[in-house]
Amino acid sequence: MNAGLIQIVIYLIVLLILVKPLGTYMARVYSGQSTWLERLLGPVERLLYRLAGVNLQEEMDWKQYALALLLFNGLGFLALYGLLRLQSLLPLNPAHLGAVGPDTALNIAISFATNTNWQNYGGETTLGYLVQMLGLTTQNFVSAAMGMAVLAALIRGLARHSAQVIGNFWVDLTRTTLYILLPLSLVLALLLVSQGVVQTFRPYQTVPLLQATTGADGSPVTEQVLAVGPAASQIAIKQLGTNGGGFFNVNSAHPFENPTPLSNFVEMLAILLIPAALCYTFGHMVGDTRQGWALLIAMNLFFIPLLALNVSAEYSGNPVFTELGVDQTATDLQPGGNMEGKEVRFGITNSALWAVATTAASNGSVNSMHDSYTPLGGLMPLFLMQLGEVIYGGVGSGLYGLLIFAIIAVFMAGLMVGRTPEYLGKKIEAFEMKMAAIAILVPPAVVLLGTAAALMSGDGLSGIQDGGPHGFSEMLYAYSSQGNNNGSAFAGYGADTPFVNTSGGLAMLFARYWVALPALAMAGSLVRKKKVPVSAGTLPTHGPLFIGWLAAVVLIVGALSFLPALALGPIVEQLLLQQGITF
Amino acid sequence: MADLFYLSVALIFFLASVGFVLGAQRLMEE
Repeated sequence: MNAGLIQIVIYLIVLLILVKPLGTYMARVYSGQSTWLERLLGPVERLLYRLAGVNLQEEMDWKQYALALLLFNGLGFLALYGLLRLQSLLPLNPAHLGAVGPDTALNIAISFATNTNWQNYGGETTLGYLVQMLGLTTQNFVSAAMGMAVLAALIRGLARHSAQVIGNFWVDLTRTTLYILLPLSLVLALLLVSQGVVQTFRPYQTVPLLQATTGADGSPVTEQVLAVGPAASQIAIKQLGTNGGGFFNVNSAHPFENPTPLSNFVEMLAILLIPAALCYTFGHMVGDTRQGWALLIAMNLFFIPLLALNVSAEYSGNPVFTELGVDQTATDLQPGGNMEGKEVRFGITNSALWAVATTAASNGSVNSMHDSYTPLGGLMPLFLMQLGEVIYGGVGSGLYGLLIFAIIAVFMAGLMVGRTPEYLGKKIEAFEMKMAAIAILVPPAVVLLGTAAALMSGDGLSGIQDGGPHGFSEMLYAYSSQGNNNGSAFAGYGADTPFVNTSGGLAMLFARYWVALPALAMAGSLVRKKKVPVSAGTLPTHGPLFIGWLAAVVLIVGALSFLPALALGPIVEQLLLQQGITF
Repeated sequence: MADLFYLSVALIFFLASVGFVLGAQRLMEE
């Protein structure tokens, strides 16, 4: 436990150390300033603009920005759908995997275009190398870049005044990919390869077993097929871009995706790196870094307590086992606690830390199976997603989500004291509040309506593996994951059916775009406004009072939306577990 | 045929999103 605590502290310290340098660098990228990579990548950037006919100096109003985003994402979805449906005709498919079915292709294409990376398929048994690279990895980059571009636009809306334009979507997309995501991914991919993550075009390898065994029919089994492929390059961006879609079915629990404690540490670090640093980028771009630190602290008011609860629940183990006299204490010879569904090489702390980080950020990769957590331990990842993916959240999307909550918080504070609400000198008026209301209501609505619809359909119900509240949790988790663009799976829910694929696909679309579009609309409205000078009546938005108030608003919205559903799932399951009833 | 159905689901969503943008712009101008 103590060693685990030290690892968590080291993790948080390393993350914190990297926030300022990376945040400053990203602020330079979004402000159009030159960076040390300019000399190397500047010609590539200019060539891309020339080929695409983009004028670097020409900025867009919010409507142009939003339409460019929709056009780009729509075409990206179409391209990926086509690749999936035509896979059997495409090269670089050594396992000769067939075309993906239409409803599965719809779900996968939406999932990767929306940065969700919910996976209703097994990577190594469904997709060839070309589709993994050209389809999924490409979307990993551009969907992450899209989220960061929207954030950059919203920050400009807050930072500029009496203007019309909020940036150029094509330039933001290009600069994010070229100067931030590609270099970081290259470094991380090489680091992962050094740890043993596979990166090859060779076909799946047939190897002799060290110990022969027998098959189900009693015949001897002496060989095993090992799936390999260009995994490291995809895993690097899946972590950095908060995408989360694994190359292999069991994601980062697979030894070829995450072989060592060091690879585990850097992959976990990559999950929160950009979302954390973007807080500093925000503060830097609005001219007051305290504003960015305040948002980062607000995120950690959730992250650290929920992590502590998760770790504690998993170390406590299963009370039913205790009744049976099973020793669940951690010793030199056993990890203790609840190790079901966890890799021995990671143990409880690194599994729990990953589970909390991957659901706080809208990453969704896993290194352990959340379905096997104690009910209380499983509640934490579920609730983190349901808070709207604003506790770190997705790259860009997490922070623009939290900024929307900040605007709601100043509005409510303004109502209480009878003053016109303002945030960073911008008056918050009816239009901003209407957009904010849409942005915070759409994800809970699609999660709850999707879960309810699945519960009422035979197709949805048939996917549930376990009975009672645990089965309900499996379904609620599936829609919470898709309806907040997280993508992690609780497992135990068979999601590859036409109904689940289509309803989940719609949940992902609404959760992504009907939050991003209101954020852009707010940027378009805010950028036109004048800055109100700070006065005695201004609510400081960098102090402890506002940080606490912001956290309270996030908690109230999340709790009011989801506590009844959580009571039917993990909460009642935990209470029943104390009585010795399991599911 | 199935492809047309699933692609039309996505197309309708993207068209609705364009409608959202135009609607929000009108709301902003009011």
